[in-house]
Amino acid sequence: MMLHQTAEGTAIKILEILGARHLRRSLSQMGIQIGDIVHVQRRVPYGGPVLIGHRGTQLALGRSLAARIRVAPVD
Amino acid sequence: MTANFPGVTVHFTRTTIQLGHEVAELIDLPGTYSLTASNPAESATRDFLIEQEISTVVNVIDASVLSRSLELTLQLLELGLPVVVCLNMMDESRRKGIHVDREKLAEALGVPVVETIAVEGVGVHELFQTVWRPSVRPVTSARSCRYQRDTESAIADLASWLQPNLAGEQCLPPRLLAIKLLEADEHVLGQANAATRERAAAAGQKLATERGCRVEEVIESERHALSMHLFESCAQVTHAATDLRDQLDLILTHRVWGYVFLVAIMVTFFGSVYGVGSLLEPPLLSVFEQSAAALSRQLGAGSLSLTLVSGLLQGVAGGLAIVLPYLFPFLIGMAILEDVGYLPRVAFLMDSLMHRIGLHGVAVVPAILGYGCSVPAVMATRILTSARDRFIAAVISTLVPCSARMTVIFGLVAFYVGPLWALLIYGLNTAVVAISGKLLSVILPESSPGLILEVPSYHVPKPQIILRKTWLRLKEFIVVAWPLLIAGSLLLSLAEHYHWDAAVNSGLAPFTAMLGLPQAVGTTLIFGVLRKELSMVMLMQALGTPQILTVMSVSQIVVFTLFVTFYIPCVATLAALVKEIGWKLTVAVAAYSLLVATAIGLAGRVLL
Repeated sequence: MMLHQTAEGTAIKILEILGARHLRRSLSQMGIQIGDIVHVQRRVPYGGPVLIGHRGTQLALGRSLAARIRVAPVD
Repeated sequence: MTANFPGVTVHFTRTTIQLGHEVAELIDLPGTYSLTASNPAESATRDFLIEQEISTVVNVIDASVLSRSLELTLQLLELGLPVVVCLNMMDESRRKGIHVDREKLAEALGVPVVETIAVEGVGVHELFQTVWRPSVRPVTSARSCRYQRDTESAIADLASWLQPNLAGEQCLPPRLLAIKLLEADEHVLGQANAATRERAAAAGQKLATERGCRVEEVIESERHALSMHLFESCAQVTHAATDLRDQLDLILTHRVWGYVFLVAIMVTFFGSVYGVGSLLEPPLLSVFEQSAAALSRQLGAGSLSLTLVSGLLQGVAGGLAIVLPYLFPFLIGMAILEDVGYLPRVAFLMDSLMHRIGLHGVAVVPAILGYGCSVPAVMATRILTSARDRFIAAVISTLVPCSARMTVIFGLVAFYVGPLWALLIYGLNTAVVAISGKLLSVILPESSPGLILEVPSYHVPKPQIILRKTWLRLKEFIVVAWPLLIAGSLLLSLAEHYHWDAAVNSGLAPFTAMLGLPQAVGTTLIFGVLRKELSMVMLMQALGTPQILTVMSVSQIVVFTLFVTFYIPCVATLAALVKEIGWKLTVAVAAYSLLVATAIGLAGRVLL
């Protein structure tokens, strides 16, 4: 599933980042890369952004970006 | 000046500091996540680091996000300059359960590491002493800061080719240059010649084939792996202390309550500014009225000396009695909101809305700053990555009423007509801003990359810092705007005395008549382009009395304020716009704002 479809409070692993490498580079600069496990903290409905947490960093990602990140839930 | 808000430092702040007998210059650079810049602010930092003569680089790291911060550190180490790592916000990292072993980190990186809690002054002295130590030498990367063998050999291969071929083409050390070329850094590639690019491509090709992905992905994942490794070996992660702040965020970013509180907070802010201002304005105004009357008796009506003195008095009165009562609580409120760290949450909540008008949430930063002053707001557009986004954000942040226009709305409409009307004007302004943004995003179609914003932890603002920040901004008003106000008042006084203003007013008469405003208003509108507060302060002067209601009707006051809120940005803003978006676009923005102001003024005249 894609990041914007995840449920609040779950831990997910980043599998793939679709589209132009611009997004991948920005995420990587923020310390998040493919294979990382992040925590979905908040999701605003109606096309709103997703708030994820990773090792102390909190990142807000717009929906169009969240829709391009393929993830899988982690137990 | 700093704030708990990404994007606040968008220009360099230079200070001279003294340690012992030596004097040095300290330069605060805009924060960047990487030496590969993604917006103009980051480019400025990168250029400075590469081109300027620097004796030491102080890498200020938020210890609570250490693993991410190290990605920049690893790049800084390649610059070949002395580096001192400042592990800041140690209190915050401990709260999050991240305990960093300073000595291990220093050993792994090969550079001095100093722990600080800068906002409380802890460790700052030690930091400067460390920076000063003659033993701080340029970095030759410690052995632990090497990537995996295949990556290192590709880098070394390219670097050794670059070494003799550099010839001053780039100012980067060969190893860093090699890394950046392999990483497909656009700026570096753009500056490299064809031979260099070919060689880089060849060196990268082998690595890419072996790893089965693009070479820049290899570099990035290597750096990421190294940062993570350093983090894991030098820091212990224990259970984070959940405190009030996390629960606060649960409410403030909640899909329903988040918005409820957003409105509540904005209304409280608005209400407090009005409350304090309207309390102070009347008594201060009456003091000046009485002085003016006394002066008139003393110096004789119609005399030149009276004209000059009363002009001076009007300017002083304007600043003290009309601007400051509202400006002061406004600046304090802004400083508190900034430092608490609430503003990124606003960006988060407003993102989808911003998308509908063609921008993404980060554009909220310049827009919010625009409520304070358009000049830093326009400069803050540098944090946006595309030129198109920057333009739209610049337009929006100048349309939004700055604190000068705020004092007009409060001092004039709220005071003489009623606070509800002031609220309506703000509401109307928000609608106009949204429509303008949408219009622009339709005319300039381009997919916005979308929001990527770091949301920092909440922070209890320190009163001394709030006050100091407010004072700094207030000082700007006192030193720059107030003298202009006084000069403008004097000029208007003189113009009235010699009846020049009559000429200007009659020249503008068809325009002011169209808006249903008294002719005397003409000159104040001209002065308003110099500085927005002037349009209100000098209105009283031009009409001949601070009792505006005796000369202007309620609807006229509203129409006047509506016009002033929307028309041409002040000269300082125009200058900032020219710098950010260029002459032609600035003229377009000014023309657009004039058009909107006239249209709304006319509508106001007809409807009210």
